[in-house]
Amino acid sequence: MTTLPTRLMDSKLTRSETTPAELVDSNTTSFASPPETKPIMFSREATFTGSTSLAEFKGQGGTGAKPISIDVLYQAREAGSRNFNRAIELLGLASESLSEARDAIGDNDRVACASELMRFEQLLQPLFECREIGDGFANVINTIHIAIANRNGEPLTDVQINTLWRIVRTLLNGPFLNFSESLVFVRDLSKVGLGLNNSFFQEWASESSTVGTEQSVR
Amino acid sequence: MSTSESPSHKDLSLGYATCEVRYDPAYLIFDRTGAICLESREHYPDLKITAASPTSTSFSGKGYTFTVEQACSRAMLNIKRHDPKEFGEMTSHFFEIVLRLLDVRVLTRIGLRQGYFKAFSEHDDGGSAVKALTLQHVSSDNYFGLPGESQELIMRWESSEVGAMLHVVPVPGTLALAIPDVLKIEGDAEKKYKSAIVFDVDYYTLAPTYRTQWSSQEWIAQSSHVIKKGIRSLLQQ
Repeated sequence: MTTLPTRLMDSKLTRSETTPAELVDSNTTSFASPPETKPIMFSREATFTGSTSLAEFKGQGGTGAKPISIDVLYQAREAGSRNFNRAIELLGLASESLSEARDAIGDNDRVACASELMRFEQLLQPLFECREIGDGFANVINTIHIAIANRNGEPLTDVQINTLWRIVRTLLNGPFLNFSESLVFVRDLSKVGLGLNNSFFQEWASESSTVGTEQSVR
Repeated sequence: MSTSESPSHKDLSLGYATCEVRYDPAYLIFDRTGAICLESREHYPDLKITAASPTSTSFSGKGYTFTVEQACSRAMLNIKRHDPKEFGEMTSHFFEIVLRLLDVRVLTRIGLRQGYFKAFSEHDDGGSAVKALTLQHVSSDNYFGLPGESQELIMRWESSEVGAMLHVVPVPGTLALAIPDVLKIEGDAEKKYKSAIVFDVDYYTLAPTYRTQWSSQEWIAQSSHVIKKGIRSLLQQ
C-alpha cells in the first residue's frame, strides 16, 4: 500500500491539481488539516465538483436572506431527541393558545381569553421538563411559570399576553439560546410586571440577611 | 471476478464525518482563541493544538480534529463505524464554546459531510459498481467522443433553504482508507482491498440560521438521518 493520501482522489491527482482556482466550489463542506491518522481528507482546494453552486447563480444565501425555518432545519424528527421534539410541539401549542387569547381580547371575550390562558399555563410544567435542551430555554420557561404563579390568580393584562406571545414565538423559532441571551426575555417579562420578585422572595431574602447579621453579631 | 451489481445501502459503512459552520468574519478570533482552547480542554481532556495562526487554529484528540477560523469552524471525526448521534454530542461543546466566544449570531452556512464506503476484493469492482448504478444516464450516443458510462457521478439538489451534493466515485486499492470493510473482506485481516466505491454526501443549509436555532447535537443526528435516507432511496431506484 502506498503512503497515506492527502486526498481521497489521490490516484487522480493530476486532475485535482489542475483544477483552476476560479472553479473551486465554495459550497462544499471542506475537510481541513488532517488528524494524526490521516486516513482520508479533502482539502478545500480539492473539492469534487469544481463548479459554482446553484445558490451563487441565484444570488441566494448570505445574512441578508430570509432565515431558515426550524421545520426545514430539523427535517428528520424521527431521529431527533425526545426533549427537542416535545419542546417544539409544546411551544407550538403554547403559541396557538396565546394567539387565540389575543384574538379573544380583540373580540372582547374575556371568558375565552381566560380559557386559552389556562390552557397555556398547563403547558408550562411539561415545557420545563424539556429543560435539557438548554439553560436559556429553562430560564425563560421557569420565569414565565413563576411570574404567573406570583399573580395569585389575577388575570393577565393585554400587554402581558402580547409579551408572552412574542417570547413564546421567538422561543419556538430558536429554542437553543444560552443563559445570558435568556436574560433579555426575563427583563422583558419583568418590564410588564411578570417578574420573579414577589413577597415570598423578598421575605426569604430579608430573613436570610437577618440571620446572616445575627450570626455575624454573635 | 468483476461484479456489475449496484451496491445496496446495507453494504455501505460510514467512514468519516465533518460538520462545518460558516459565519461572517469574526474579529474576536484575534482575542479569544486562547480562551476557546482553554474552555475546550475542559470538555476534551486529550485535546492537543496541532496548528495555530492568528486566523486559524486546529486542535485534535483521538479520532477527531477541531478547527476554528475567522469565518468558519469545523469538527471532523474519523472513527470507524461511529454513531452520528455520538458525533453530534461530541461536537456540541466545541461549537457552543466557539460561537459564544466569537459572538456569532448568524450562521451563513451549516454543512455536514459524510463518506459511506463499500470495499471490494477485486481491482475493477469499484468502477463496475459505479457504472452499474441506475443513476447513470442512458444514451446511445457517446459523450465527448468517449464511449461507455460515466466513471464518476456528481449530483446536486438545492431548495431555497437547504441543499445536498452527492459524489459517487470508485477508489483504487492503492489508498489507505480507514474503513472497516478493508479489514473485513473475506475475513482476512491482512488481505488488502483492491477497490472501493465511495458515496460522499454533503448536506448543507443555504438560508442563514440564527445561532439560537441551531444545536449541533440535534442537527447532526437529524441530518445524518436525512443523508442515510437519501442514499437508500437512490440505491433502491
